[in-house]
Amino acid sequence: MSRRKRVAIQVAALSIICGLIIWHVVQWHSTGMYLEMFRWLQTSRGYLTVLYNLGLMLVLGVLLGFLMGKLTKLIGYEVHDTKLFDHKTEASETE
Amino acid sequence: MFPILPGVEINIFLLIFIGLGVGILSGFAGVGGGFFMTPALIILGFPAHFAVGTSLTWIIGNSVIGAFRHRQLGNVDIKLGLVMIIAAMGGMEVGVRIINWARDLGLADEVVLSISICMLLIVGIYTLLESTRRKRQLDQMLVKKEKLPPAMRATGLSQKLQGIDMPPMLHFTKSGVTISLWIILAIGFFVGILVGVMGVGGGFILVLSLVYLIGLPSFMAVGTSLFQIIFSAAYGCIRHSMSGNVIIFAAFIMILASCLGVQFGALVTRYVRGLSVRYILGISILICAVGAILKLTNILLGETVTWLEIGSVGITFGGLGLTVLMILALFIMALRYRSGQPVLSWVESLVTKED
Repeated sequence: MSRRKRVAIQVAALSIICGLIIWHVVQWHSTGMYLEMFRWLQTSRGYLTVLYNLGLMLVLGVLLGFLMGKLTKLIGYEVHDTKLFDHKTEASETE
Repeated sequence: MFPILPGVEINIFLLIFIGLGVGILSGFAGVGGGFFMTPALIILGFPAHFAVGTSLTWIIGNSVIGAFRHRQLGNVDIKLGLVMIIAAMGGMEVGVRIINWARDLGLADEVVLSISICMLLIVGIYTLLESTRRKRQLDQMLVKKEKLPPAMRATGLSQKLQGIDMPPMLHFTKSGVTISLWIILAIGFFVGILVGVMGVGGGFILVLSLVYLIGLPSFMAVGTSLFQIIFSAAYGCIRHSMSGNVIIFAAFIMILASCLGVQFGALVTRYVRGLSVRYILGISILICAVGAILKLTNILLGETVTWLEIGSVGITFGGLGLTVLMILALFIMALRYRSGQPVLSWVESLVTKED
């Protein structure tokens, strides 16, 4: 399997997972589940709301981060080097 | 209009627009973006406590995406970030306690806001002056037809701090820095106190302390700062979620928009010099200072003043629009410069030919 094809499959898989999360969030918003979770904060189940908020953002961040990375790879953008100090000329540059 | 909570209706397109704009700034400058996001949400109609909580929650996801992208670009020093965040967390807790103690003593919010304004003005003006001085230096090199190095240290102070031999000395291979653990802990702790006192995510303080004090290249500071912000924002998110201040659906919409903005902002860093990041960061900090001055004036007057409210909206949206436009302009100029087309002479020292 070529590298490009493998990246395309990864992009498709990540898109499906992200799509499922989007569907889940919209669904819970429209059914009023989030309002119910606000009420949980007054009860012993409040920690679930806190974990859900934190977890959703972290999971979405990781998935979207991966997805965007793979997408740019699929487009063909590659990073060749990192910009660091040129230590050989550094002494004369610093103020 | 879209119902987010009973009684709170938000224009979903404005949420997307703000998420996109702040995302670009965040990916480019390594800041969480809370100093634009929170007032923008308040202007959109969020109650203040919801705006702060939702903004901090959004910053987690946004910073994760930004850190991922910058890691791919080779701009994240995870080891340095982890060491610094431990000290910064301690400092943040101390900062929060200082604020609580000050309130117990009867010192009002005006005092905290005044300290924040002084801090923002000092940091913003210093950054702009340093960037201008460095730009002049680069312009002179260009006039003499000298080849510009890939990266240059912002100040000599970081080299002096690195020269202090206080074991254990830590070497950070990724950023090419060797410095005493105690100096990193001290800087992290001090930054944490400032963040705690000012009540912000602290991206701009982190980026600038990494550049000016520890001596990281600007882009490495941007990526490492985003990595650290994940932890500080998570801490804020937990505290605000427990108080019921987070509208997760709004944070979710904004993150879908900002993920594109962050990618663009981060990729623009491959086309510009570190100097450009410091320039735009300096301008953003000063815009933020003006916004804080208006807020302080409003508090001191003790009543709602129309022109102050209009000014506040103008500063928030105008400032955000201005910084995004500057990033876009830099990108377009960099593309022209690379393809050999003529560009304005003052832009040449801000962009790079190499990827």
